[in-house]
Amino acid sequence: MRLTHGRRIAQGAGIVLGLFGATGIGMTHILFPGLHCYACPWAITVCPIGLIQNLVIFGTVPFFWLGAIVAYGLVAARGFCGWFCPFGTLNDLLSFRKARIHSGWSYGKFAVLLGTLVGAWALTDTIFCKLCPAASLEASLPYLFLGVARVNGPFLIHMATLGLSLVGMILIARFWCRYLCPMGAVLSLFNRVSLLQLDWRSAECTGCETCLAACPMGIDPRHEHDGHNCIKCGACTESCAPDSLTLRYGWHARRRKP
Amino acid sequence: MRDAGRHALPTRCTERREGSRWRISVWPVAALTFVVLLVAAGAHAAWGQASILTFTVDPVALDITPGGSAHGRVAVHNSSPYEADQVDFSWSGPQGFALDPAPGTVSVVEAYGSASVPFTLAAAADVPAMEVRGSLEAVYSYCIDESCFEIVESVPVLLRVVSHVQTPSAAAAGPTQSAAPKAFVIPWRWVAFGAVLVLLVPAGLVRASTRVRVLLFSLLAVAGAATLAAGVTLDQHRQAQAVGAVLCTSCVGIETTQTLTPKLSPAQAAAVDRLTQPIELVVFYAPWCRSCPYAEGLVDLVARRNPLVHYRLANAEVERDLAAQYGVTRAGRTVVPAIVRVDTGGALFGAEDLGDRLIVLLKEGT
Repeated sequence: MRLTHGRRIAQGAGIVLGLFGATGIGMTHILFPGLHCYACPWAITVCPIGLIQNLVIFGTVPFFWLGAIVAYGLVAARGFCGWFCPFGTLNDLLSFRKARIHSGWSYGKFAVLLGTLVGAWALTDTIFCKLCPAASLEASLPYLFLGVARVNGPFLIHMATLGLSLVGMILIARFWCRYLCPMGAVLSLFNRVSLLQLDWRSAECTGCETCLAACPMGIDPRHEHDGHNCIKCGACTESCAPDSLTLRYGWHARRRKP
Repeated sequence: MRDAGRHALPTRCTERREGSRWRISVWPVAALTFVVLLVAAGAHAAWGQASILTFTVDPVALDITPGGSAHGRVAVHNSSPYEADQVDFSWSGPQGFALDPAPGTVSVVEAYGSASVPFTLAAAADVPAMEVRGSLEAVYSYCIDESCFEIVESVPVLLRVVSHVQTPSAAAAGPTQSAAPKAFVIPWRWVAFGAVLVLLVPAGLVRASTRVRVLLFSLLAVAGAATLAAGVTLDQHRQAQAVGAVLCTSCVGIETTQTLTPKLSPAQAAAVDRLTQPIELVVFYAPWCRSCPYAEGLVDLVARRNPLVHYRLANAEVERDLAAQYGVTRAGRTVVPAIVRVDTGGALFGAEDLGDRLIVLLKEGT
C-alpha cells in the first residue's frame, strides 16, 4: 500500500470523527487534534482553539487543554495536519500549485495564534471563531440549512473568509496550513520531539530535488524536515527514488546503508 | 514566492528503488496506550463526581444505653481547592435510633479547611443489647466555575448497646470550625503546567540530537500527563464539554451580539395587546451567552404587557432533556438563546430581529 493510500484512510478517519455526531452521540470532552469547529452540528469533539479562547475569557488556567495538546503533540505533532485534520484535508484536496513557501510569512500562523489569545482577553469575545473559515464551512453553512442561521452580516463575513481561504488554497497549496492556522502553530511546537518524524539521510541523497516539487508545504524536506512547517505528510518520501527521505515513527538508530 | 527555477526540477528520478518507507517500532504501542489512558481517565472522571470532603467519626465505636443517648463528633476535612457548602447530616441505620437533636448544618467548609460537628444519637428504650452498624449520611455541594455538584456520602458509625456507659464522650453544642492548617503543600499541578511551558521552549526552538529529543519527549510526556490529570481533577474536561455542547448564536458568528435594551415598537406592542389566548413560552439561555439577556428581557416585556403570556427561563446547560424535548437541540447542539412556544412547539433561535419574529410566533394559530 502506498503511503498516500494510508494517508487518505487516516484523513477519512479524521472526517468520520469530525462528523461522528451524525450517529446521535452528543458532545464529548475530547479535544479534536486539529482545527474542527465544535459548533459543527455533527461535532462530538471540542475545538482546541475555540476552547482556549473561552478559557481565556473565563480566566481559567488551561490544565486540561495543555495536557491534551501535549499528548497530541508527542503522538504526531503537525502529522495531524497532514494525516487527520478535516480542514487540512480540504487544503490537501486543493493542492494544485505547490509553490515554495515564504518562510517569513509562515510565521503568520503564530501571529494569528497570539492575536486569537490577545483578542479573546482584550475583547472578552471569541474573535477568531467569527472569522474562522473552518467554522464558515462546518457551522455557518450547515446551520443556514438547519434554519438556525440567517444570511446576515456575520454570515457574510464567514463566507468572505471562507472564500478568501479557498482562493488562497487554490493558488498556493495548503495556503491555510502554511500561513494562518493557529492550531498548526500550536502543534508545530512539538514537531521536533514528536514520535512521527521525517528523516533525511544525506549519504543516500542524489540531490535530484524531486522532493522540493512534491512538498505541498513548499519547504525543502532535506533541510527543513523538523521545522515548524513540515506536516509529515510523506509526499516527499514517495517522490524520493533513492529512499533518502523516510517517515519514521519512534526513536530508531539510523539504519545502515545496505 | 521564491519559486524561481521550480519548473526546471525533474518530476521523477529515473532510477527508482522499491523499499519500505515506513518503519514502526514499539513506540506506537506506547503512544496508543497513552491515548487510551487519556480517554479512560477522562471517562472515569466524567462518570463519577469526585468527593472533596473526608469524614472521620470520633470515637470509632459509640456506647449507648437503651433509652439513653451517645455523643460523638464528625471531623470534616476538605482536601480540595473548592469550598464545600451546606454540609448536612442524617442518620441511616436500624430502627430505634435517631439523631436527637439534629446536628447543625455547616454552611461552608473552606478550601483545605476543616470543621467539626458534634452529634447526639438517641436510642429507644426497647433496643436489645447488640452491636449496631449504621451511618451518618452527609450531603453537601460544591461548585467549580459554572458546574455545581451535590455529593452524598455515607459515614459508617458503630454503636454498642450496653447496660451502662463507662466512658463519656466529648461533645459540645453547635458546630465549630477550625481554620485551615498552615501546612505547605507542593502545588504539583502548577509545577507540571510550568514544566510543560518551560520544556516547550527548547522543544520548539532547538535542533537537538536524538538523545536530547528523547529526553525532552520523556519529560514532556510526564509533565503533560500530570497537567492533564490536574485538568481532569479540576473538572476542566467537563467545562470543555459544556462549552462545546451549547451553541451560542453570537459566539461563532451566526449573528451579532445583542446588548441593546429590549424594546417593543408601537406596532409590536399593539400586536401583543391583541393576543386573546393564553400562551406559554420557555426561554433557553446559558449563563455566559451575551445575547441571552436581550431575549429574556424582550419576552419579559411581552409578558408584562399582556398577562395572557407566561414564560419561564431554562438554563440550557442544566435542562438538556427539556431542550431536547422542545426541539431546541439541533443535531446534538443546544442553541441559545432560544424561545419555544409550548402549545405549538414553534422555536426561535438567536436574538436578531427578535421582536418581529416573536410576534409571528405569538400569532401562530390565531
